[in-house]
Amino acid sequence: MKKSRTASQGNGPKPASSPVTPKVGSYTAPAAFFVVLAILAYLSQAELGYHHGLFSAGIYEPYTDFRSIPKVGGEVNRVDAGREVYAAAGCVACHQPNGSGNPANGCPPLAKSDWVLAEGPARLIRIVLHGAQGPITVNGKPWNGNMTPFGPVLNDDQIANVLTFIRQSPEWGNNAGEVTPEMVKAVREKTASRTTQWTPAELEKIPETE
Amino acid sequence: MASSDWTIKPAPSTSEVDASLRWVVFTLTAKSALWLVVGSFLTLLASVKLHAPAMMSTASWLTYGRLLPAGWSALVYGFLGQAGVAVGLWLLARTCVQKLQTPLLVVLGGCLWNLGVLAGVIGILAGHSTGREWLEMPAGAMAVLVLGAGVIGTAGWVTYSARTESSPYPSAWFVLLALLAFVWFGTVALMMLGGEGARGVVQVLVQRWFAEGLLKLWLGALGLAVILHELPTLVNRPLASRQLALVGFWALVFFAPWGATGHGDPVPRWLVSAGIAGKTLATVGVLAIGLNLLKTLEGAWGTLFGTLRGRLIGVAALSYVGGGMLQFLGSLRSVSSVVGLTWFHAGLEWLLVGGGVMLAVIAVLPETFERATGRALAPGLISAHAWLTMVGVILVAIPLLLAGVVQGSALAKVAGTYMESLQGSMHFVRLSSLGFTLFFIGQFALLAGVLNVGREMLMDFVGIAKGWAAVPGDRKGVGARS
Amino acid sequence: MGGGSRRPERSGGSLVNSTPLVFLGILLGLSASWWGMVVAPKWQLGTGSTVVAKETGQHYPSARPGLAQQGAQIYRSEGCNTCHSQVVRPEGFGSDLGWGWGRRRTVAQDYLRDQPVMLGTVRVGPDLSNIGSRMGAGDTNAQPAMVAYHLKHLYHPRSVMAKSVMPAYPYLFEKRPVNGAPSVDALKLEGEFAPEAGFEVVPRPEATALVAYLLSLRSSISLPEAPVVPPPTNGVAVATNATANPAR
Repeated sequence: MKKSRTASQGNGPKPASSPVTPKVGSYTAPAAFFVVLAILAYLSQAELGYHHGLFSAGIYEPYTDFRSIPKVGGEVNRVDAGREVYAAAGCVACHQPNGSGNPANGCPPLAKSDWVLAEGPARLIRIVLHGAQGPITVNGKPWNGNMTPFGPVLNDDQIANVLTFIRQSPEWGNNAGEVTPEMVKAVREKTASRTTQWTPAELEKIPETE
Repeated sequence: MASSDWTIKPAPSTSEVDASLRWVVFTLTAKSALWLVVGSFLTLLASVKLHAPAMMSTASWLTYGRLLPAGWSALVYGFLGQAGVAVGLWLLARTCVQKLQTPLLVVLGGCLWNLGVLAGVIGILAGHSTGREWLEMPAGAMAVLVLGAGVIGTAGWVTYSARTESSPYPSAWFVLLALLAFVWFGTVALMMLGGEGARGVVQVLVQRWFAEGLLKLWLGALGLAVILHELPTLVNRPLASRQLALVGFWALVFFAPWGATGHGDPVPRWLVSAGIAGKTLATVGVLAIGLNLLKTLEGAWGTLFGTLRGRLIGVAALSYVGGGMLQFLGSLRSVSSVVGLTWFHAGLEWLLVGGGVMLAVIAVLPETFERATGRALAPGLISAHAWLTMVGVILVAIPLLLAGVVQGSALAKVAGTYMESLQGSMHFVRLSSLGFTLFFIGQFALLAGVLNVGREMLMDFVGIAKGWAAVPGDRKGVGARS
Repeated sequence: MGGGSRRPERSGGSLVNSTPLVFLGILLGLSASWWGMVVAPKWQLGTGSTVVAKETGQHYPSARPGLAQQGAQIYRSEGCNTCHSQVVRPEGFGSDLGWGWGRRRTVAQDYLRDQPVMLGTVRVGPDLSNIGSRMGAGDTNAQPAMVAYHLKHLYHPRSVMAKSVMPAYPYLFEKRPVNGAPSVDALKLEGEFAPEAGFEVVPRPEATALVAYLLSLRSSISLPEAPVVPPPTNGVAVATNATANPAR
């Protein structure tokens, strides 16, 4: 610390008289202060006491316990749920995010498609369950594609959701009826023995609404 | 150090204590003044960009999302991290009546610290922000900072251990807390966020706990150390109560960092409640300190606000206590449903950091500087700096708080739109830009003063070195002085 | 440390130095909040894993595609979280649900795969928790339209929203002379925002990645702890209209 020593020899102005460290008095807080402390302590205890949410990782505001969380299983928004399936199950790869299909591999469009917007989903459910191949006419234009079966990988709920999505997708302007898991289940049972893909010719013999 | 050494050690004189801090205080202050200019410039730029968003948009480092965290980091870590610690060490040495021990460690730690801040601020501007509030500096820079803080903190604690006053004035506790808190929060946060340490919202909890800890127990503790020391000194009275200071101290240590969560956060309900309970209990500390200061001041408000320094300390104390109470109020459901996720948050941070800590530090910085270096900053520059900073900080904090309330009320109107909520609050945000401008201009006054003293010291040093060379026989006499 | 007694003057130097005790005391105090606010939640939430969503049968949250992951790093790097939150608060907090910023509040599950999690603190800009699905309603906003919208918005926010205060990000784009046929990626800019004649603006990979990330932001699937409750039917019919309005 040689520098500090030398610098102390400088000609700069001398510091004013040193302030003394303040003393500490003997004031004692009044009882009212401790009452306020007690109130604050009570408030914090009450906050945890009333809103502990069972200390569970599954209770969020505004719910207080598991019973208070509404069950909305029956009111699933199939369009939103189906949109997720559409992306996750890989439909999007061929049919495209905008449902335009892909001429490169003969994959027909879904957006505004007469097959998709049919009165009933009977043919659509079959296509998803077992796949389809062969020449098909969509909106008057010929296509020749090959779709793999999704029956083994998607359950009835998922198929119902994804079909509802493609039939009602607001972003494509589609607006057809909902597909329920019950419809899918019925078709799945009826066609349980089928092992090959459908051909469009076969499908056209099946009524749209069974 | 043997455990009983200190009791028989002769107490050094005040001037010896001051002299032991000379270079430490000078270097830390000088570098902090540079960061203050840098930080206030970056925050001003960010603030202006809110009104002219298309301005300077061609360079990535000039985007608002980088300027603001970089500026905040420069102010908090670059300025307060050094000026606050310099003032804190001076208070510690004074209250412990002991020369600063191992000052070389502080100089070394200061170098590391500046290296860290430099790398951090450049890192943020270059796009390497971590995306976590208060922890934006890249982890490597933060690690250097923690290391530097550890080295500096060691010197502080060794000084405390070598004290000749067995129960030092309460300011000493807060300085010790601050020195330890930064290392603790920094180390834990870095370790828990590094690699795959924390998943999902646990990262947010670590980051918020870190920020809350730094705000209250590092910066806040430094600010309180100054306020508790200065306020009684300025009105020439004893601090009202040691007992209340103790209650405040421990309430803050135990409860303040719990305030990491609040209503609306995506964490389970019990964590929200724990956060609110923590904020409530931390209020105990704020109230204890507030009452202590109130009792100390009783009837002497005029004396305090009669001097410039007293005004700074008074506004700092009001900001601290007021900010603490606002934070408590803001945790209540009815209030947080309005002010949550609005400018209110920014306003509160400015009130607590800018008002509560920065004003306290700049109030004593000139004197600390003068006592340690033996040279005074020009009085005109001191008062220009003080006024511009004080008015600037108030003009930043209060309008932002109001902007938050206005914005929050508009956000709650389902029939309104988001744009309406933003535009309603922009008037206040514009006012805060005025505050940022004054704040920025003011910082040149401090920088000019410090640089001027630095020049004087250098010239003296050169002069003395020449004298030494001419009269070698004097060397021994000079060396024996301290 | 706080004892009121003064040091007995030169009483023989036998007092124990309390420094280590003080040190440990403070450390103990500091660690209290650590256990409660960090360690306990880490035990409870840190081991969380994806759940199978009832509606889709898919794991939630699913991993982001690679491009979107790169986009998340651009989002971090540019400090988007300085102005944008990614939190949907429950009913009664602002108009988060009323404006369709989300179909339900967000919970820990939504952030499971985020690194870093960027909740944000101040809404200078609108919340982005569901920006990937929010503007998808209405048949003009199909995916390609959304990508185009976001790119244009990033390039110059005021070209799509006159009063926006968002910074422009021209450095995420490239302005280049049209070489032969205009690029299919070129932004369709009009009026004052259009480049000089003979030039076109195309997104750099950073911009494309950022938009991929934005479109991957969706946390609207119903979860057991945060079910999607149908909005109340009284009052304004905001739930559907609001989602289509970018100004929200």
